[in-house]
Amino acid sequence: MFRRALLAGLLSLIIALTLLPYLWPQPILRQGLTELGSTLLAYAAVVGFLSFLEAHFHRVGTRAEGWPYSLAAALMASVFLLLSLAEGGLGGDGLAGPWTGWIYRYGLLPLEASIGALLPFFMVLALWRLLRTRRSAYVLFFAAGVLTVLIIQAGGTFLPTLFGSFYEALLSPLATGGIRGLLIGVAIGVVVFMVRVFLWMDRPLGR
Amino acid sequence: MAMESMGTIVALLLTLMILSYLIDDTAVYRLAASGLVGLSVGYFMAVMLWNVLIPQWRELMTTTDPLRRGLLFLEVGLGVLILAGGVPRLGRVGDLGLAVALGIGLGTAGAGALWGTLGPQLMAGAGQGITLGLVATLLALLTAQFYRPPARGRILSATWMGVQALGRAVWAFALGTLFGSALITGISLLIGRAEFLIQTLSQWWR
Repeated sequence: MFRRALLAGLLSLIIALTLLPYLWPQPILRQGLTELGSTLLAYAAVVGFLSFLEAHFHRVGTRAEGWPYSLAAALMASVFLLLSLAEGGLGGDGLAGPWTGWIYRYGLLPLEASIGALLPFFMVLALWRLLRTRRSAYVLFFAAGVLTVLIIQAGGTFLPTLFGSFYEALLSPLATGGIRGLLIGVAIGVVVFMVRVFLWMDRPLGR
Repeated sequence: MAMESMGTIVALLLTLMILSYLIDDTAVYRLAASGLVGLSVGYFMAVMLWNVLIPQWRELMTTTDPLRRGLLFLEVGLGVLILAGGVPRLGRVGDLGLAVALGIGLGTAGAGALWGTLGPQLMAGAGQGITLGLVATLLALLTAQFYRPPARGRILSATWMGVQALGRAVWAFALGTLFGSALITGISLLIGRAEFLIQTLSQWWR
């Protein structure tokens, strides 16, 4: 009980301290808190990295289904990190080494771009399935939104010129207003969650 | 030059391995996707180490400013608590470091939402008077049900349901435009990859 109250109190105190520089400009406090937050995130990343390795090597050890893929993922992560440590040494920068740069340029970037290149296929398939399985007016509005962007971005054709004034007058305000509504909704949600944690109504820590 | 040529071959192979998914969910695709996950995790960890942790450990050894040294000691101390949280028996200790990290994260996110999103978006939405955009924003917000009027009478209920339906239509249209934008980004990446494949293969063909 005391432990939970201690953690909730510490959370409230830190939230108040973080908000303080926004209300009463204190650049040093703001910079210090930002640095502290990013440092703790980095330490949390170390814990996450070790958990990642542990989970995948456990799958390899127990010969779970698909263990070769786990081995590939864990080995790639370990090799990249060890290589950057070896290249950085004591005084250098491990991200600027020739081999880490090579892996980044010819390994990571092509893989990311190729996965991104598969995206249109997944998305068109998902849209097709949505249109086939769900029959409602909202699906039609969704498809209209997709078509609007495709028509307006269809460079080299007459379509943007043809639909330009209709888009400017009706569709663009509708899309912008809707997205603004979503953004404001998300922002309200974030603020409400922060206030709830600050007032001890939600206690995300202390199992 | 040899490294560059070897790199092009590796990039070509990895691209083909990923694009093989268009034929079927093959083992080759899964291997490449697992490699992507591993490399991304390793790269993220390397960035955290070389851009955040190692510079601070170096500074801790060299700084003479007592205030700065105090802050760095506090960071390392809380960081060690978070690392201890990864050990099952010491999990409770780690919560103290996590509480500080979470507090800073929540405070920064809340401040960003208040001053970075809510303020500017409300000003931009309401600053031009009553427009179609403002009506769409209000409809989208009403659909999120931050406020629900008490059900009184058939007419009021029907009106509320109508507002909700219109708001959902605005949501669907707005999400559709976001989907369309993501689709165009994907198509650009596809064109880029196709261009890379064609150029590399045509160079070898000559």
